[in-house]
Amino acid sequence: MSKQGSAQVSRTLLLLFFLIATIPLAGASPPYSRDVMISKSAACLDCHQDAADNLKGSTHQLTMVDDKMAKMIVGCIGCHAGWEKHLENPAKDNIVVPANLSLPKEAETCSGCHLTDHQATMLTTDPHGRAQLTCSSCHTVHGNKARSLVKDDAEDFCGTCHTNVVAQFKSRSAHPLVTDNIRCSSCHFPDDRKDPALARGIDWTCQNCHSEYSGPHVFEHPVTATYSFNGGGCTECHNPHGSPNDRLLAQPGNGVCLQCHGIPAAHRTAHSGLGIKVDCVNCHTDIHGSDDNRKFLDPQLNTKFFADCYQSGCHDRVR
Amino acid sequence: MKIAKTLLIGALMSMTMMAAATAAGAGDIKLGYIVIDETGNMSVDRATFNDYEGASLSLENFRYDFKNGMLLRANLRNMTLNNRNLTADIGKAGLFSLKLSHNQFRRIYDHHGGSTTRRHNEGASLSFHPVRYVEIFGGGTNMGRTGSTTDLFSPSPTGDKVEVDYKQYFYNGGARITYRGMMVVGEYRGNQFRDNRNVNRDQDRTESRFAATVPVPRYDWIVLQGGFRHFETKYKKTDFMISSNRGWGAAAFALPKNFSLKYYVMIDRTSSDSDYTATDNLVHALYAGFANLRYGGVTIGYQHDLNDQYVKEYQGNAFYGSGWFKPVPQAELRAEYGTRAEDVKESVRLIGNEDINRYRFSGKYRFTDVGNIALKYEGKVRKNDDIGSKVTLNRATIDCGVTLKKYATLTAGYSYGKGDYENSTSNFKFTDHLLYGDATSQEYHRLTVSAGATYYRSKRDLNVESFNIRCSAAFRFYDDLRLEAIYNVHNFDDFLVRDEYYTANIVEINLIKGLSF
Repeated sequence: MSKQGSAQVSRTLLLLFFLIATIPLAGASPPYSRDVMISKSAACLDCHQDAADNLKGSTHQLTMVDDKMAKMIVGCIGCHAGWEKHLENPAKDNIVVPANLSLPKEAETCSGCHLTDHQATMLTTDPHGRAQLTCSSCHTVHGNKARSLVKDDAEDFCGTCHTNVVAQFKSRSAHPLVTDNIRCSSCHFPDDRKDPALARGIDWTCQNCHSEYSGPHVFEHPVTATYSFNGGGCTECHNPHGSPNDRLLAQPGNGVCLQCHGIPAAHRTAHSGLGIKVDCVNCHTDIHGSDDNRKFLDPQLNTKFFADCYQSGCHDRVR
Repeated sequence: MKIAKTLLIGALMSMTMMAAATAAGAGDIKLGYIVIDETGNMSVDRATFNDYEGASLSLENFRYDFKNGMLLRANLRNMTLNNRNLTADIGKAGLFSLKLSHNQFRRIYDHHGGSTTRRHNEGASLSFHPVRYVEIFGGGTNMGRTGSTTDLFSPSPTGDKVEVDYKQYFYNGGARITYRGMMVVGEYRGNQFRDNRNVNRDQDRTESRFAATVPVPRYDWIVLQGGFRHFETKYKKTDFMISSNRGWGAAAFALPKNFSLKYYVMIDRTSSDSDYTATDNLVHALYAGFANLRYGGVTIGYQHDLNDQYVKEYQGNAFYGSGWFKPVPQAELRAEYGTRAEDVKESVRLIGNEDINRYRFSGKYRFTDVGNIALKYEGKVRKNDDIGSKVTLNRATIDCGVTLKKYATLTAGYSYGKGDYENSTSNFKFTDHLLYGDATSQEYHRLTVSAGATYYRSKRDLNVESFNIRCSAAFRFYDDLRLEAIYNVHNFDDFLVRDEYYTANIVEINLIKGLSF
């Protein structure tokens, strides 16, 4: 498709966004006032002092009367709906425990205070939400002082469910997750990118650390510039979690090239036929994209292989 | 880099001193020495790339709770060595948060360690709430890489060295407004890549994004979301550019009886100066679910996407199904299946039509107060019949943990991975075996011991073996002073390549003072 109309598409999208963003909030009731939150939560502590103790030092530490710095008022009644009945008749089943709710209902509770892109996408495009995991699947509120209240403060928390991925990181080559130089969230960041694996896509995920290979190039290798929501790009040749081959390559040697390309007949007889193992990238060095030639050949090829290619007599005519 | 490190340590110390008059803190100060004895090819065992010999000083798991709810945390590992990894943050929930980080990583590319690159990364981020419903956030990261790499497939026996020297600067800033289930966020991100060896590669990237989430008034069981993003990468010297504009919208319906429905649509146009054309993407997806919280749930979905380039166009149709089941509260079974077919509708593309099938099964069981066991299996098949290419990947993992309260905790696992790459003119096959386990005793007469091992074997077209054996002992002198000895053995062998073997013995002695004040 041509570029004509690009500006029009942008304008339309921008307009759509503002239409959604400006839907009035009629009907949304305000949260509890500071005084109500503190006084009613204090009543809960008459029976549940242990809850106050195990929240101490956590991000949900109950707001105290003298805490003038508090912008966010944290109290029992902010999360446990139905507290009015429970105060009159303290039974187990007449108060809401958010961890026992389905995702939409639990998210409704948590989003009263926590609504970032992460919480928002859990409701719609996040694979965790799609698999019906809830906030409580990863986070616990009581008795937890861990970062972001994840169940386990360990750096490899994601690995408690994604055991297969942890195993891949122990392959021959892998990103330095074990040394804590990167984390799962370095690539899998649930912001506005909506592709299945929650990675930011070709434009940010890999380029964040490997800009030297990124485009745009005058001559693009199409596989590295697949502007698609589903796959494409770096992961066509590299397995980012780990690989039995060096440099995260899915296949060793020429394998990654041969998954899409056949070997040209002349190359088959000459280069391999001479008994010299010549890999594709020996000559096609700029395989991520070239600003020099459309076959991604090494700009220094003439000097680099002067003896091999030309003095041997094979390519003397080409010179 | 030194400035960042000094600032990070200085900030932490001043914050600690500031706090000294109040509240409570805890953490470990660790003073140690690391000795490394290694032989063989230093470029083959990535587990030891970032290990250095010498005296180390660390502050680990430091935490200071201020009386007013503010919290200071820090993990400053190996401050005196070149693999230092420093993180610190201070904040108060709902008021502000300041995070600082710095780490370094070395990658070795040749036998004797002469060809190496070192990455360093310094970051800072700040967020604060001027009023309850508004959050202002921003940050910056400086990342650099210097040294030399070796061409992976160099015909030269010693390898051709490629010098590397570049820096990247990231920065972002934005604001988020949240109020009773509604959110509006706007953010600007920027990135500058500066290559000191080749200024032609210098590039700038920017991204502006807005997103909103709104429950529908009086119909709060419907949540609407939408957003817009503009992204561009530009070569500094030539103004060569990729840019994209993306808009998306989503709706989530929480229906009665625990049924739910989700729909989202995305439209994106990416343009590149290199081909003077644009690529359009259009995606629609619909998911329906039902959940019974006690017993389980199911989700089914369909996604259609369109990729339209100048001359070629392909369409994808994907179906998704997943379910989970809890026969008893301690057990959970999950299954997930997805299939996707990409058909070229106009013109041709090199890889032709594509079919992808992906499936996952997992089971977990928690034994009360004893431990847990988890099994997972996943498979992926990708076929491009037009070019005779097929990829089949399978992996199964079993993982378990046992807690013997009086004696020890044990973890162990085994993972089996199998890959078959069938190209039209060649094949590649591998089978990976990974076995791992660790045991840590409870303290007995002030002594704690632990031992563990990881064994990796890759076979079929490869013949690689590596293992790591680790053991440690820690003796507690007083309540807050420990002497710790750690011994690690790393071994790597590629039996198909003569040069690719490596063995390292690493001994670490640490004196640890537990802080509590």
